[in-house]
Amino acid sequence: MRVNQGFAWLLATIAGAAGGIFLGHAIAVSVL
Amino acid sequence: VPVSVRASSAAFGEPGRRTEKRPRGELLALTGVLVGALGFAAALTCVYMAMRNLMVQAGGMCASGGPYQIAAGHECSSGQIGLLMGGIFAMLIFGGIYATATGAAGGLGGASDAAYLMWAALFGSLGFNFLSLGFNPPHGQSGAGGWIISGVVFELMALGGLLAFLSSARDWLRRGGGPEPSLIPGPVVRAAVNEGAAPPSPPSGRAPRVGGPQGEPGPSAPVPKRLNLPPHDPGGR
Repeated sequence: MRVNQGFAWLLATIAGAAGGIFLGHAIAVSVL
Repeated sequence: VPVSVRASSAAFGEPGRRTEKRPRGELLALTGVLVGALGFAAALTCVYMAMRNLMVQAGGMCASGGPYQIAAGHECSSGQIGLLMGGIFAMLIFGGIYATATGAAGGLGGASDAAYLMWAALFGSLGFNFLSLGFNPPHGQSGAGGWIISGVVFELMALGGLLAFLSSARDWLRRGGGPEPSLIPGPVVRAAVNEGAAPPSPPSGRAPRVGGPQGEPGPSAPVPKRLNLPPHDPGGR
């Protein structure tokens, strides 16, 4: 159970980071 | 009615007795991890791109306002200022959300692991900017050796955070995903529970005595015992 919780955290981190990079790139390109 | 309060080991933070979280709380914490990571990565990307744009366009320095005349090509653009300043504050806010949610979600170990990861991402990505443009300076840019030094320092700082995170992840895997052992090794003093004690008497106007050396006169009325003190031993050390 605890291992699954840890991997869920890792998955949420990777998904958030990937989405954030796309979002940040889009924002920066539109501003600069 | 005698009230028996069992001295629970969980109340003292004994390791291995963590309170089970409800699935709804876990889901909320994981949502916080997702939102925090997304916001932090977006803010870091904005800072990364603004920094790179500033280094390419203006050699890494710009200014605006003030009593001095700014050299041509070194005025800060509003986009650079907005992305850099907004990105830094957004990183602080979303980094806090990410670390807090990681501690609540029971990730690899706690909020410190999230901090290690964000530290490594911040200095690793910005250090890459320094190294990349230091070795391949923009057209007309001279004296980029300082960028290489900055890049090496940044990457070393990122490596420190990465090693700390990997060490924590290795410990987590060795524990089989269990919680970190507590620094406090369980309760030092256990309360003796008076199960089956006499019911409390009506207030008699005197403060109840909780114990003391033998030979002292006892209370006039039986009072519930709160502590079981060992008998007085005169020869004891």
